[in-house]
Amino acid sequence: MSSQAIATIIEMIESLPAATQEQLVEYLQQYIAKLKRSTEAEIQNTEEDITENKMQIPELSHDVADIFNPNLDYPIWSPYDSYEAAHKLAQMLEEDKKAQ
Amino acid sequence: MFEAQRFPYLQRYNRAGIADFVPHLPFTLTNRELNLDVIGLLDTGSSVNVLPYSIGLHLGKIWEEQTTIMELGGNLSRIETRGVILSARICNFPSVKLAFAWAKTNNVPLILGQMNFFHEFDVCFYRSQLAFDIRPKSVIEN
Repeated sequence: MSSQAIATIIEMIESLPAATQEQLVEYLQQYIAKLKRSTEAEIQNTEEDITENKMQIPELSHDVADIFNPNLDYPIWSPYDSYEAAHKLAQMLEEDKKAQ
Repeated sequence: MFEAQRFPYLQRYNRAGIADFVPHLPFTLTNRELNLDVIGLLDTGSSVNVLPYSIGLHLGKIWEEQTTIMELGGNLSRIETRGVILSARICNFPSVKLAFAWAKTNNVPLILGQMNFFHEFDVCFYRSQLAFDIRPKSVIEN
């Protein structure tokens, strides 16, 4: 990318409020990560997504949910609804208690 | 009844470098004569406690000897997990037995969930103050 293009981007970002700047940086990081992983066809889809979402960026600070891009994977480690596993652990604890 | 101990939320950064505060609890895990100071994430939505693989190994647990195999939800559904029991000591409270789903991966936080961390401890969150209080469960006598 030319230095002129970089300067333009910096100028655009600096014109935004600080909170929005941080969200925009996160958004761009996700976008670039997506670009690196995607095929050419997926890149085209992503560009369309970004274009559609561009108008929402200034409003991100008002709605946290908009920060999340539905096209990206986010690690959710919490094992929700794992009741069978919970019952197994409870049984282990009961057996351990009896053994003592 | 024990007096509640207060802990601060700790600052944490995500992959994008954005910071937030999360309820992380420092405590000590013990298996026989082996001790390890760890930090657990208080996760009221998690059905179980989750133990990263390396911590189990540090505490002398042997994967092949754990016979209780279980399946978890979320990202952990793709990872093999087995049940283990360890002793845990928080502040000056009496040690308690905690049962963990021991995951065969290190790419997971140590999670303190409903079974059985929240069975053993009463916790009150004060997000607005970036702090939480914790104490052993109240025993109700009939």
